[in-house]
Amino acid sequence: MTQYAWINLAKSNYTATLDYKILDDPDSKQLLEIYKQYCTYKKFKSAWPIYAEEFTNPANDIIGYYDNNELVAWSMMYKINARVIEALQFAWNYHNPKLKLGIESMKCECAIYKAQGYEYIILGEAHEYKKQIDGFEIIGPAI
Amino acid sequence: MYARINLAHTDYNADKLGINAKKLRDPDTDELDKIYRAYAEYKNFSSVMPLFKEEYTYQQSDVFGYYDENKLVAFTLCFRYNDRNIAANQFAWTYHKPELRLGITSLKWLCAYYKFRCYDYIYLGDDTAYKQQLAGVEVLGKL
Repeated sequence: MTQYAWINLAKSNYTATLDYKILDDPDSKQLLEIYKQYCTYKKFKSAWPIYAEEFTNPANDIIGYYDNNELVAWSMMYKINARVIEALQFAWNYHNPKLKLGIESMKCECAIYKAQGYEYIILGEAHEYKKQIDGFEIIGPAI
Repeated sequence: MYARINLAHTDYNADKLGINAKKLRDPDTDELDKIYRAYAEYKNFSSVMPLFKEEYTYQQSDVFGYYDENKLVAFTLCFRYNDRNIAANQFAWTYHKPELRLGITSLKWLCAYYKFRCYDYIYLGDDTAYKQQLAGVEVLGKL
């Protein structure tokens, strides 16, 4: 049965060390191209679509990650309320896999949103690799 | 694998589905929470993706209520990506009378509702077997 997870930010203490910025005016074409590269690299047989409108939705933060001043990855974060945010989508062109941006971006987001007063980052499905993040918790049956 | 409904391939008539449904303009979030809790308990989910009150009233959310004997017994929370595409994000019902088959009938009703409003696709999430009985179901392929 599917298990879901979140990060309890009270139990994490990361520092934002990546070169990132929250994009004020996201270039949806560029972001969609990175998403396409990500899906191709990951060999997803079935890809969930991303629409340009999601990048400009005021409920979403789009965090861009840079390597040598080039945008190489992004995260879409859905601000549910003042305490809880959901990591909706991440994409990366995997130009330099040793950067480990998949996991390092999550640590960076812990630092960013903890500093803003958020308490939880909802991660969706509790994939194994996410368990290495401090504050990782399986969401239980009680709602 | 993910699935969507191609509404061009559906022809459901909302008046002939035998379901009492309506869009909730001012949803009672406590009532919806109770239904979601009852649903999770009935399904015996060990881990539940939380739903927050703000999600029901978010500007791109559509909430539909389904009634039995004038009592709200189920709901669907949909997210509009744009004016062509929508995701059926969460369904819940009390299962007070399983023979109503509200899970599948509510989806047919949503097809009629959104097709009438010129939407093209309803995104369903995972391609679970029961969804295959719907007209217009397509498995999402590679990007």
